[in-house]
Amino acid sequence: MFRIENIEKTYSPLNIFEGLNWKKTPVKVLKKVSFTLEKNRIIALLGCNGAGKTTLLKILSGMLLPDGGDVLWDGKKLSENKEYFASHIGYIGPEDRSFYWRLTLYENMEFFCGFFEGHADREKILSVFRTLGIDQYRDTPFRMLSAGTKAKAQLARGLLWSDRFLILDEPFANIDIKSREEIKGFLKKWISEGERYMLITSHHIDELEDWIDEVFVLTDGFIMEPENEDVFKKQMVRVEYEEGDSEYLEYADLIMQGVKFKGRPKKIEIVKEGVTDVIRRLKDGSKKDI
Amino acid sequence: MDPRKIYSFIKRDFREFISYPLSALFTFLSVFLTLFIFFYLSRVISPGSSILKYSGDYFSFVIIGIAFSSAATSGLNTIVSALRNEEMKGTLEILLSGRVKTIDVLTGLMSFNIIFELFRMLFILVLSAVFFGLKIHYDKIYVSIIFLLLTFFTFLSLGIISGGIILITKKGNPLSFLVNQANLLFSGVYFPYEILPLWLKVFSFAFPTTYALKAIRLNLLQGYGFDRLYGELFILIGFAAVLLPASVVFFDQALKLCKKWGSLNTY
Repeated sequence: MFRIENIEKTYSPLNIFEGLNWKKTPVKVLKKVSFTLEKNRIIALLGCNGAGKTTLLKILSGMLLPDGGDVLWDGKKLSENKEYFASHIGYIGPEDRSFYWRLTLYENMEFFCGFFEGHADREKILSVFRTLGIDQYRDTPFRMLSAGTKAKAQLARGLLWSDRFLILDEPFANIDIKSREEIKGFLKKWISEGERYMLITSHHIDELEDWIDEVFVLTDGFIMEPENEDVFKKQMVRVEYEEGDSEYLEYADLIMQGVKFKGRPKKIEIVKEGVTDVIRRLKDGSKKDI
Repeated sequence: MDPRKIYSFIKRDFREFISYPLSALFTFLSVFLTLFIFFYLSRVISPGSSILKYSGDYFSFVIIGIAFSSAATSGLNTIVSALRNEEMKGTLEILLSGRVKTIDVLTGLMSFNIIFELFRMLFILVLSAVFFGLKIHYDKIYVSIIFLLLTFFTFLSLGIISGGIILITKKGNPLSFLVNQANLLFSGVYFPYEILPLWLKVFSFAFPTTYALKAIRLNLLQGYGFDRLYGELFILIGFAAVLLPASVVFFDQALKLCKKWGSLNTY
């Protein structure tokens, strides 16, 4: 069991070395986020841009330090065993900037494996390349790869780094539908073998439905869980149109899926009115009822 | 420290280095040009008594200063530029995620450049000996190597401290600027520090390269051994012993701060 407990994170603008700007205020990104990941389940963390998904994933991967809270795994705490967590979690980020563009795809993998593991197993690297269908690009400089192949390279690195826990941050952003389905099939098989964990983020539930086992929604720094429901359940959005009429929409519905407005919105405001059980239904995996 | 991990860095950096063939070519061409410049400059400079103490001619004096000070101070500049490069490439956050010990990352980041600088130093000395008549004493060359290593570790410590500063400030490193510029003025790279007035000479004593260059020149050009250079030796050991552990602690604290701010992948 992998338990995330009361994780808090605030980005402070008070780093004077990165430019003084007294108008900036601290941004509280995560507010006591808690949830549990069960083994052998694909768990999705959904939320709109800026909800704190990447911040949380970077904390789990050792790239960021939380302000409070802890993570428990295998009887160990993240705060006391950073190296253990970092070396057992494969982080697959959305940025292709984390590779060396002058080197080939294979040279990149050889470096990342050699550096992190002490050795690079050529056969293992090529086998992952074949699985992801990028074997033919192994001698191509990274800068010349397509966006889709770069995304697959991220995935390949994550798979080479960890065979226990994969963290995937927007992994399908640049991948075509055919490749996406192949990768999903591969990951579905991967998660079912041994004691493995997977946490994936997206702000498009469409690309994940029918594939994930559980959903958590991160919004305004909270996880929308039943125990936190009182914070969110009354939030509705009132949309006032230029044509004069107005309508109420569910806040969660608006941020998660996007809503086609029936006119040109003049004013959009969050109002505390109405009740929604969107969270529970999302966790049940039935988006259609929302 | 895991040598296999360090080797991965060296291999990576070598591949990146040769992927810019013109840059590699010009690096070595610039060595030739430097030697020519100082060779002809030495013909118009009549050596004063302060240079005679080390060698008979200005060319031998200045070439040893340039070759060794560049290699010895590479620890300072290498780590700063390597960290800055990784920041710009967006790879620093991954490298410092905690999966590998910080000291391994730092060693890996600077290894190729240090090997390169040592190679460059040997290249300068060999070219100077073959084409420009530089004469050095080879019998006690190990003395110079020890002095070079001690100075290198001292500057490496300053480099690690500078690296910590660059993690936070991103650009504009006061320590690196001060040490690089002041080192050339005070430690006797181009001229003997002895000719400075007393109030400036005081600063010379604060730079490890002052002691190292003095000892290396006296060793290579006059054949001095440890028996006549032990004063300089102990001073350099002192510099390295204090600065090295302090620098690692400083860098760790700077890294912690960056992970707190979430600024590792910014530049």
